[in-house]
Amino acid sequence: MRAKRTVPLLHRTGLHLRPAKRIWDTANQFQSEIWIAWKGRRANAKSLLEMVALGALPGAELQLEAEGADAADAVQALADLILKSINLNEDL
Amino acid sequence: MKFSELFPKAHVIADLTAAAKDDAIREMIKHLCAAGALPKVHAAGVEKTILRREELGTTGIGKGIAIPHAKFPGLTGVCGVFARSVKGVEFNALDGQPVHLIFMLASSPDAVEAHIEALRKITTLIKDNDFCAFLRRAKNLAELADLLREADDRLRG
Repeated sequence: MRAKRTVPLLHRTGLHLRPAKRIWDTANQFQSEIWIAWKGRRANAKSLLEMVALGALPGAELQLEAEGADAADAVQALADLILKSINLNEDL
Repeated sequence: MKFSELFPKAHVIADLTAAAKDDAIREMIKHLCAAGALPKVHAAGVEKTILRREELGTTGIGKGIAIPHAKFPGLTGVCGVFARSVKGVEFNALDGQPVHLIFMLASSPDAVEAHIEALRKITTLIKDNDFCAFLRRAKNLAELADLLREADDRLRG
């Protein structure tokens, strides 16, 4: 199964280590392979380094993609996290 | 900003003395102040902010690497300092291993884009196991500084 969705990164300081760690924690709860892409760069959501290496800035349209048995749930969970749970004012 | 401008030779410590995280961060900040890159008046505040950030979750991301960082009012742009520890620093890293390569960033809260770009460059480079191995094995400060200067070519490649 394959699932895709694009979500804006509302975090006002961009995809730095801490929000990336939260995405990583969520991604690792799923069996599917999960990627996040932005501006032609593609990161494995289960790799902290790859996600920070995206260099995604505030407002970035992140393309989420998953492939595997729980792909739809994985994309939903990551979209929820990025849209709702990552604290916008988390600056550190 | 080029990687070599972020981590010029004057901002490089070839062999850190400290063995504990707090001491390592303090030693790196002191080095930046001595290099004239960080106003001494901000040293204590930057140290406190970096340690507070570490309490929220370690920046010891595994593979012997840590990226402690802080945004602190009064700073200009993004300032980097790199330290290698031959013996290793206990950093409470995600993989539980001691840290040997530390890339520290102290940024102005306004430097959002430059801060993310600096993190992007660091993480892109440290994905390269060869680059990390070269940094670990460099004989002295001059070799480390050369590797960091050549990093811009690796990023372009």
